Amino acid sequence: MTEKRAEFHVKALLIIRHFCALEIFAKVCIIELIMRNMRNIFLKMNLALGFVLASIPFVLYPVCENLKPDGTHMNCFYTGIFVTAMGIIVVILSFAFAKKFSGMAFVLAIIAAALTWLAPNGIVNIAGENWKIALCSVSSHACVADTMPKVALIASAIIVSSFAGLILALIKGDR
Amino acid sequence: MKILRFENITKIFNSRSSLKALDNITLEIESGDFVNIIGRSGSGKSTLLKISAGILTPTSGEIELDGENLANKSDSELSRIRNYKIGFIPQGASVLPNLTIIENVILPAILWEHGGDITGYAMILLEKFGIANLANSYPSEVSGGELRRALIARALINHPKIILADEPTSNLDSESSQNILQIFSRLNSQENVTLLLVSHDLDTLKFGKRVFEMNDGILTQKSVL
Amino acid sequence: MLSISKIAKRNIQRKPLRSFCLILTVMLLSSFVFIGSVLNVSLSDGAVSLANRLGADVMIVPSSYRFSQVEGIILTGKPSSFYLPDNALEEVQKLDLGIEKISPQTFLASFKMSCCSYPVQLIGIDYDSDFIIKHWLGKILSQKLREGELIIGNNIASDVGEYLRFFGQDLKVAGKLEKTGMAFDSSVFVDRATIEKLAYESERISAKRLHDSSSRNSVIMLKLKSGHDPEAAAMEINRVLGSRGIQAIFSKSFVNNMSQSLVFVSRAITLSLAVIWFLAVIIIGLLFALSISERRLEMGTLRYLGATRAKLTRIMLSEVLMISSYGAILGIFLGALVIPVINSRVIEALRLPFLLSSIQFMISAAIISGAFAILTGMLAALIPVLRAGRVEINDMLSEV
Ligand SMILES: Nc1ncnc2c1ncn2[C@@H]1O[C@H](COP(=O)(O)OP(=O)(O)OP(=O)(O)O)[C@@H](O)[C@H]1O
Ligand SMILES: [Mg+2]
Repeated sequence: MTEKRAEFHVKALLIIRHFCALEIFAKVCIIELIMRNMRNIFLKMNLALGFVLASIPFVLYPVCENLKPDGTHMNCFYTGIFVTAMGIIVVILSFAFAKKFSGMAFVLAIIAAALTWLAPNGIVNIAGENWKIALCSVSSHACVADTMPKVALIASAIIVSSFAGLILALIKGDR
Repeated sequence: MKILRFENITKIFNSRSSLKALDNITLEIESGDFVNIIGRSGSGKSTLLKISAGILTPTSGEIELDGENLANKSDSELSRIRNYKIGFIPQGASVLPNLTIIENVILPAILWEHGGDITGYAMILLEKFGIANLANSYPSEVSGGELRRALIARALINHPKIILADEPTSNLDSESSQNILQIFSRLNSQENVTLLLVSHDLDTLKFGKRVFEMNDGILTQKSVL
Repeated sequence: MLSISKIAKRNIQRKPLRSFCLILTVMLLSSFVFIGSVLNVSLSDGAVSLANRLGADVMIVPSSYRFSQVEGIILTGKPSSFYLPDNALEEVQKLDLGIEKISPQTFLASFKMSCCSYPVQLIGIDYDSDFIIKHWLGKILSQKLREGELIIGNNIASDVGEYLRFFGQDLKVAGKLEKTGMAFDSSVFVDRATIEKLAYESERISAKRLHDSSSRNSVIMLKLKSGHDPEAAAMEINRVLGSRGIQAIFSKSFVNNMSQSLVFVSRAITLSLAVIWFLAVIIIGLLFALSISERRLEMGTLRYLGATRAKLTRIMLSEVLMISSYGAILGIFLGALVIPVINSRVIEALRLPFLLSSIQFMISAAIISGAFAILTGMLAALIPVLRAGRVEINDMLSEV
């Protein structure tokens, strides 16, 4: 009886071990696969995220487009345009560097994504004759409550993916 | 001119203190010589080559390479001798896998910053051995025989005094083996390169000006061609 | 052409996953050190110079306000309206405290009116007796602050000559303060007559009286003649006038209170930096030990081809140097992006004054953090690299 049980244990252990080995093998394979295609993966990610970023201010989580009493647009509107522009830049960068993989694509994407936070929050001043990239001061307005948190989220995602891409670009170098 | 001189060399590895890997070996190799040592596996052939290259130190006896006693040399002196005077081809294919074939060939010249047109000379060697088209391939992309030829080119890059080749034909089919051995024999006859070649392959018996047999650490001369 | 650095580069390329992890580790290390040190220095700068920056030795506020509330108003500033009892100014002046300067201020919170107007703290000052706000004006106004004009704090997004609208009144910006690191940064200053008018408008719009007293003083700032102890003066005021709804606070008590929370924050930052450093050393050390052990044959090859021990070590270390440099540079880049975000968030989150350090300090902090991260990488890899260098060539060749 005990002998049989011992035998069973040994078999069970063997099976478990096989599975562990299989799993590890599968993981290694997946990682290898990802690494092999990574140069595209981060660009692809930027492409998708840039598209999302561009569509946030006027499609997904719209800013208030109402006019001010004096007939001009509110700061939020210009911020929306700015965010859309930055999103489009990220998309264009992904396309432009698709063939010629380079860290520059990611450096520029990081700067564009960072600006969508830095400019509206007044750390980088971007303003013109009678317009200004800034936020409403009322925290319940769509622009502050809805749009900007999503913009910040997607921008951070772009920054993370771009840093990963940048590291990879440095590793790959000239080979 | 004497290139290599073994005098009563004995090698005992510590872990098997009773066993003599080399037993009182005395051997002299002149410039332009082609010495071929044949022996069974474990007979001490690699040990002999490693001692010649200063990779191992003998338990007793004296060894002189190009007039220099290898005993009591500092790391940098030994490294310099290995780089300038010895073309070592170890057992098995040892290359840097992330360098291309041509980069592997010029590697010894880079390590001590030999001047001149190194890449040009490397290309000449690769062409001579029929693998110029593989110059920019990586070691994993070429066949065993092609890699061996690249190793010979690497051994020659610094114009060494002597080539030490450890079983350069092992694991190759007979055609590739013949190709390699012919390269050696041409190097010796046409360019007067001094060779010390060890192998367990009886096919190599036809090659070499002098053939020795190694048996449990004891060296005996077989014949003079 | 082949070179030592190219060999190192190829080694990095050959193991992308390992290199990725190593660069990421160094990158996080250098960015944390950069951000952490800037944060630490900025916070302590903010606290240490607070007393000087406030410019007053003693502040008199209504006694209904608790210390932490007052601290909040002065340091981080939630716009609020509060008032001292009648005649508080005269009563304080009557006391023999050794007063050098005394100046009242009137606080009035603006309403959140339309989108893109500013909910700010309006402060009425007595421009003649004021010794606090003038101090922060870069260049003195050409004339004294007139009715209908205002001086804005540094965070108010407007410029001299523009108009700002409060309670239906358009006020002209006459001056802008330097950065103070206190609530003054998001405040607006007007003269006594203007604040009266605004308060009146405020009461009219909200149809609610602000307070019952006729005094419009919210705080009284005191500067004592040298040789007089602010703490003693504050105690004297509290003893005599405490029952009249007046309370005096000496500014040093802010600093003491501040520095306690500051010490905590600073310790937390330092501790997490230490943990991150330790982790980085372990990760880098382990990954390098691993990679070296699987490259013994390559190292043996280099050795029999004539590389000295020193050269072998140099090849290995130049690989670490390259990886660490990539990581350090990326980390500084990341830090430069994150610091402005933290700067804007830390005031709300920590309720501490925060003065971003000078550009020179930032640049040197960036360089030092990068160098520190590179050194850490080298140090962590040094042990496995040196140990590998000591292995006999024969062992490198045979152990495969
Ligand atoms: N590092 C070592 N430590 C202990 N013993 C060793 C060591 N290296 C070799 N030996 C022993 O020395 C003897 C000679 O070894 P060597 O490698 O020289 O043989 P060989 O003729 O080259 O064999 P093969 O044809 O298999 O390469 C063998 O018995 C071997 O076990
Ligand atoms: Mg051998």
